[in-house]
Amino acid sequence: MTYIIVSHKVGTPGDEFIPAAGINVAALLSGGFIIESTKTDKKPAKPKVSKPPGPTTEGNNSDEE
Amino acid sequence: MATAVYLSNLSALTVNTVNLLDQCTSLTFTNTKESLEKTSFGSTSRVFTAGLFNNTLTMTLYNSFASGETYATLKNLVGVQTTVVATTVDGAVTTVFTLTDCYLESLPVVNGSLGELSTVDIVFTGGVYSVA
Repeated sequence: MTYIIVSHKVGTPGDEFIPAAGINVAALLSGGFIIESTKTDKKPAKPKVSKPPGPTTEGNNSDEE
Repeated sequence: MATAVYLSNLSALTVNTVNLLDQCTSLTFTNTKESLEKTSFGSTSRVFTAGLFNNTLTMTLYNSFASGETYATLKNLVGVQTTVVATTVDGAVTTVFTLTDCYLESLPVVNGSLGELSTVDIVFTGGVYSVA
């Protein structure tokens, strides 16, 4: 859960609010000093894995007799 | 003549991280360790030893019902624990006094007299005192 500062009395509006020990977060939310962030953590896209070059199918150059 | 004096002032005051410095006109932060008597027969004077810490912090604030001001800060702290931080500056010496997990028992929600600015006197009790 992340919080965003709304009131200049708490910090810079727009900054993330990180509550310290002993701070009543519910009171700050009720008083309108901070809000809950609506951002959701996006999972990173699967990285493309390039396949290593496999063995060639060409025949050997050995002379078969 | 006193050799070291300090003009009463605060450089910072936060209640539950809300800056109330511009609303505060008076503050008393008292570090108290309760006394427990251990006087016994044979003593000629009462003797005490230290009990629990029982700190108090009283302040007088200009009341305001505007958004983000005194009432909005304190109304949801009645009956819960919070943290108060007061900072003093005496010349080159800065001292930060913190009372963590202190309790606000009551809040005067309406306090006014004819012709006077409304103020509230509140008391935080208990909590852990620290100074840095």
